[in-house]
Amino acid sequence: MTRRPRAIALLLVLVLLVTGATAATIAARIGVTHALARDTRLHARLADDLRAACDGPILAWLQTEADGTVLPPDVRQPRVAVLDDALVLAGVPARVRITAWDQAGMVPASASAALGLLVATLPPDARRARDALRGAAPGLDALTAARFPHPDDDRPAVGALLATHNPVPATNPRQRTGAVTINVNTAPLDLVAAVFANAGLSGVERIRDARAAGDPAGLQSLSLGDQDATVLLAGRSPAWAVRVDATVGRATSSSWLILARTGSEWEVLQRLVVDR
Amino acid sequence: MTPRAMTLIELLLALTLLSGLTAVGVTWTVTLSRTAVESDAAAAWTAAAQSALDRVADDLLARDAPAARSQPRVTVAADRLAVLTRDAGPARAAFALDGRRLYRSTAPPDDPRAEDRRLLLDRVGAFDLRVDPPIEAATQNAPAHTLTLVITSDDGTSVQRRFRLTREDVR
Repeated sequence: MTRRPRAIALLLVLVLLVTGATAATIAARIGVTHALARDTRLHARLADDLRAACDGPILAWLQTEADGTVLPPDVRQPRVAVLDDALVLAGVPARVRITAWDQAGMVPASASAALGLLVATLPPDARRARDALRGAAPGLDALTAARFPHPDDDRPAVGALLATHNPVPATNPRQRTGAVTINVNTAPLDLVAAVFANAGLSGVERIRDARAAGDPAGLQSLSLGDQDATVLLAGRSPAWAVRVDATVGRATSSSWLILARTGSEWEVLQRLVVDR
Repeated sequence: MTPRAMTLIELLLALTLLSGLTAVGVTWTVTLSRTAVESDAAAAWTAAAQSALDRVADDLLARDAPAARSQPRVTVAADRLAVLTRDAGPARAAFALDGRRLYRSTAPPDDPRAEDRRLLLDRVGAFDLRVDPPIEAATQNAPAHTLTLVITSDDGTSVQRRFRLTREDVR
């Protein structure tokens, strides 16, 4: 074989290599991009379905566990971990977390000026948020940022300190009825002490000691204050806020629910989307 | 064997061959790159359309407790979807085509004139909505209907999603 045909063959192989490698690279990039997008969409749909399936466990917890909740006296927010499960969905690792915050363990966003001692327990950013929420239809979505608390937050977000549904609104969201309720078994002790101070009562120590021992405070429902500033001290709550976080692969779907007691049942008063 | 230089003919032949191969290679690469760009554009449109569907999903999820109202929470027309939802407070959100653009409009339920319209998606060829009744007799808490939403681009790419609606949504 002479050198000429060899050189031509070499040239052909070189050109084929270059074009082949280019084609393979581009094809691989397109394939990977499409596969990633497809997986992400699938994971997002599965996460949405998982989140939507959480109403049952939430209602079961409210029916059976919520009324007996007693939190340690040194809590900074009335938070309860309801469910934290890892599972595998369609071969993909998944995690579902349900966390509840007691609406009766927070300062009511609608608290009147006569309940100033309660408001004084709030940090400055929560007080500013309270100003923004007053007069608006109840809901954390009226705030622009840092509104929904996260199960892992040590520093409570506004939604863990300010109750949007205490008192529980009537069907018409602009009509508020009933008194503010403070649950002495779940509220931060500062808040309970402020309620007692507001009403000129003593006895916070008994509540602290009972909660430190993990026991509910022996308290009958007690109504304090006048018409503009009625506070009902109670051992259970009429409304809870619940955050659901469903994660499948790289996708997470989260929602914020407000559930209120209607007789012996619990009703979802509000559903909000936690920012994606 | 005595080495010899290449003749002019050989050089010309080699150059012609190389030019031909280069032309083929460049054409091939350009075609592939164009395919990749088109694929990226289609992927970008699909991602944007999925975001628009996410927006619909969010509006269907967010809600206040059912009030005593005569209208259903979700209203579906041929190419328009209206949902009573939450958007920094109670709001009525509407999704509709205007030309080749899909818009989302929001307004307080009691003040439709204070409408805020935002562009969701461009290059939309069709925005199809369909509500299907339940296949089986639903229990009180089961989904009552299925809303199927299909967005098609002007080059034929389409995305589709189904949403479960409760009895309260479509009453």
